[in-house]
Amino acid sequence: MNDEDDLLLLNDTGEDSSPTLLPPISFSDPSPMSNPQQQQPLNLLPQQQQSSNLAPPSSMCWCFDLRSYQPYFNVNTSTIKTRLISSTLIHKLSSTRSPSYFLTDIIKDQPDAYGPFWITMTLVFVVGVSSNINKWIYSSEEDFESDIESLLNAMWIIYSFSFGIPLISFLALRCLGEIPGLNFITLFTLYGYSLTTYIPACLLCIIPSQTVHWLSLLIASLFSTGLIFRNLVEKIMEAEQTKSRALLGWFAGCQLIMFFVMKLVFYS
Amino acid sequence: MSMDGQVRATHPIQFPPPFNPLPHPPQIDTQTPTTLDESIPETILRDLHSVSSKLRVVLLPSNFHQTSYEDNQTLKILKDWDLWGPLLICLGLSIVLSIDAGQNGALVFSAVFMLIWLGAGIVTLNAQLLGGSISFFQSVCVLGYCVFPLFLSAVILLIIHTFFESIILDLIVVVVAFVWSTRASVVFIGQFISEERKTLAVYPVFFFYVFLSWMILI
Repeated sequence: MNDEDDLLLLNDTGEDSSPTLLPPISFSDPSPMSNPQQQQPLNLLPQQQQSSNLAPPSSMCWCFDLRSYQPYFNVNTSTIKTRLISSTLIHKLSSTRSPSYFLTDIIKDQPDAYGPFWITMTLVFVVGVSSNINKWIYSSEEDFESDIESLLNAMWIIYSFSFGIPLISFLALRCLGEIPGLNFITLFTLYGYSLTTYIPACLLCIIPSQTVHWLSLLIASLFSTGLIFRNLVEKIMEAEQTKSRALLGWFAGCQLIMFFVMKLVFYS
Repeated sequence: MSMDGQVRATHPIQFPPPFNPLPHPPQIDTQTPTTLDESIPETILRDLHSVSSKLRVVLLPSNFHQTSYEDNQTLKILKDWDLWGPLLICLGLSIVLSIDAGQNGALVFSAVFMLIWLGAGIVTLNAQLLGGSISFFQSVCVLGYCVFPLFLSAVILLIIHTFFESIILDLIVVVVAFVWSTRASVVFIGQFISEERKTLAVYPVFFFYVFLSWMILI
């Protein structure tokens, strides 16, 4: 019996957890005295429709229930392939597409967490491998300590870019006023897919030449920044001028920091 | 409560309580074999036999030519998951790699150990989130058993390194082991995922073994 072994699926009702069920996901305010007219509770994941068949997971433990993440893994191989290809901005060659093609036509209000998560993992691995090979080529003996540590370094740096920046941006957007359509998961998807161009760039960085390093990382950063700006600019411009400038500055700054960190920490 | 602080029951308690024999004495099930009173070597041998039969099922090439789900023998053995085998393999691999690492042995040991268990867990969670009808511990069990070829390759590399260092030979050994491991686990995992998501579920498995192979190589 599969259900007996699934200790992680808190499925007390004994029903099958089908991927099409959409449990409610609001992370509601635990205090019972809260005024219902206060600002909306912090929704990291957007509200989903109530399903009448499935008892909703308790709002205190939603992060531990597998079912609350399942809507974000509702993708097929072809979907992921399309998203990966369009995230590298190749479609820009055709000028008939709108700037926010990625968000409006490809993602289409169905953000997924599979792509960003595995792109980030792949990038961590590729960066670890290529920076190890670089160090090995430049130095004569193998320094094992730095091998594991560089992998761990890569892991926390790249995860903070792919997970931390969307989180901070989302919180900043909440403080500055709500921009429709930009919830956390959409930002996370966007940032995750923007890391796609870094993967071939880091593979190229195995070649031990500083010029190649700078060039390939620069091109990757440009493409990644391009993707993020083309998709966010319209929405940000709807806000007030000072706030929109601050937001644009923040996003641009993050991309710049990412570029320099990638080059200097991993491939010096 | 009485004045002197002692609790008195409101109704008298019969002491000792009366013995009520059950109307039907419980039937001792003599059909199911009890393992409680077997000897220790017997218990250990039974577990070892189960581990080795799963290893054989998961790793031998005869498994690779199955194209359909009908091999009940294989699945019956695999459904009876256990985590002893993966634990032994994981410990073995961590120990071998930490011996080879020299002074950073402790760091390497813990890194490999965590990597195997966390990696197997993440790959299984991924398969479950993609809608696969896979059982968590069964999948962790199979992924753990499929690390065995990589463990063998680590042992071979350890032996080779005492005589000479050759990167090409290292690469060949690890690549062969990696292909063997991945093929075995992909065949298993692929059976539980729908066609259009198979690549999505298989890629993390592939990635997990690439990571492990890289740890063996460096």
